[in-house]
Amino acid sequence: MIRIFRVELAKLGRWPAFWALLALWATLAVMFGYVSEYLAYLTPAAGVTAAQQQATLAAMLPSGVVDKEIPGYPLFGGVIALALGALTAGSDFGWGTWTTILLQDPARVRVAVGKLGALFVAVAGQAAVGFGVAGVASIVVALAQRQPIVAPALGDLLVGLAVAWLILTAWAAVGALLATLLRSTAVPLGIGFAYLLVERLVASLADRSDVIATVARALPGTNAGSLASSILPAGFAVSAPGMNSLVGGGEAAVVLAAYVLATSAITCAVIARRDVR
Amino acid sequence: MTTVPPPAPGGSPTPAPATIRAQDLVKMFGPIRAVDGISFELAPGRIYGLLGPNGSGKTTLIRLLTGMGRATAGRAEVLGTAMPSRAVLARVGYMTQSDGIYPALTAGENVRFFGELYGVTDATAPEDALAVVDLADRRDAVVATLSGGQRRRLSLACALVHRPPVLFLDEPTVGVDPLLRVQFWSHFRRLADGGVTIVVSSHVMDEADRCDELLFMRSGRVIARGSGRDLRARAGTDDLEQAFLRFSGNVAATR
Repeated sequence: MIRIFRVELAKLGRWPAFWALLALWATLAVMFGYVSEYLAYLTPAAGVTAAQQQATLAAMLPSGVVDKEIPGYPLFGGVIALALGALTAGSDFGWGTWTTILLQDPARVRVAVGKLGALFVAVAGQAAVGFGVAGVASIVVALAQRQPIVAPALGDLLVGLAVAWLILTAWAAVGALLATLLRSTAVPLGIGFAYLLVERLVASLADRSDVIATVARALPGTNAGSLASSILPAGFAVSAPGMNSLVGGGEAAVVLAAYVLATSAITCAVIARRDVR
Repeated sequence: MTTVPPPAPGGSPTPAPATIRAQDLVKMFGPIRAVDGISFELAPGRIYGLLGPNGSGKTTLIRLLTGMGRATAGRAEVLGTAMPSRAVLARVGYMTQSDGIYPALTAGENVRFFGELYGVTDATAPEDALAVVDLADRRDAVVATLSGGQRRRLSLACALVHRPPVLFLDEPTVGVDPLLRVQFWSHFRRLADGGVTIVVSSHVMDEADRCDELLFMRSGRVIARGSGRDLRARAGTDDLEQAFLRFSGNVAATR
């Protein structure tokens, strides 16, 4: 089991698609969190007060990295994690390696668990990369604006990382399940991305109907947005897509953990039973 | 139903129990009979060639025998156990038409990974498998940097790493250069001499004579079975391809 996990991790580490996704995620994290914000700060729109300018700058400094970055995880980070999950589980079909793995019945669940374990560790890397590039960007802003460099509280950073990891893991597990069920990468990616859009639509209609609100509260994206919102300071205004407060933080964490366990269990069960009775 | 008896033993001792047995095996894909009532028995320590054009049912038959696919009707047995059987899977080696190896890993990592799947505990087994296919000096090369022929060799090493008593090879020499092809067949012969039953699918007739017995396949049926010499004699030709065409013609004429 450990050896298979290590091999799966090594495969991910040497896989160009993995690094391309991480690079894309890092670019997204900096672009949406810092570059656009900093440009707006340098060229303020008419009517923006000095206090608002100061608040904008303060949010971009190193001490605010977690609050600044976490709103990007539910949707943008989720898209990347879903793609990573689908590619990790689906590429074996393209390489023809599942055929050999499925022949080795006693090893099937071990391979599935090792693959998912490696995926979830890789997703932890994605969570860390987001905060890492945000940290670098915040230091650049602080240096450029001659502001003090104050690190975020360690506790806040660890909570942020844990929340980010749980959100990304849930999406990665969904992506892996889709790829396993559909035995490919392209179709699961298309379905996964379309689902993200549909879920956004459902969540946006939640305040118009109790039934829709009930449905929305059970969806992974809603819970991801609610969990991310729950660790932001009270009154912290965020308009990032995917963020919401439909569900309490504790409940959202439990629902996301349930998604991880349920999708992983189904993935393993499908692999264990596929083709051979 | 197509029942194909083995060739006359010609005074040979009592044959060993069959390693692989097919009884009235049928596989339907919708209205298409990809495998159409095949019955045969294959003895241990011999190389059997499944010969036929693309779409003749060779790969489907192998998938039924390995338990990768479920027969619509009939029965497949490997090592005395009805397939699909989880217990038998660990004793079967299968080299697929696609390379079935990880492009991001090294050759050595691939063999060790598949060895792990098969439960190989002998630390020398991966090295032995690489040596057999003449890739020992490329063990640290990432697969993406290997040539097509080297990938086929690595794929074979992965199928051999657990030293299975039954080996299914689906078009094993596609993309392999002539010199290495000779080495491949030499190794297959050594394995067979050691008791391994080998089933090789191919549509390359010039490799057929390296097999102990051939099973000509067409339209999901075994249309003839025997050694290359026997099949030529029965078809009245010196050319195996002509022999195949004559047997094919006979089948077409009787339909």
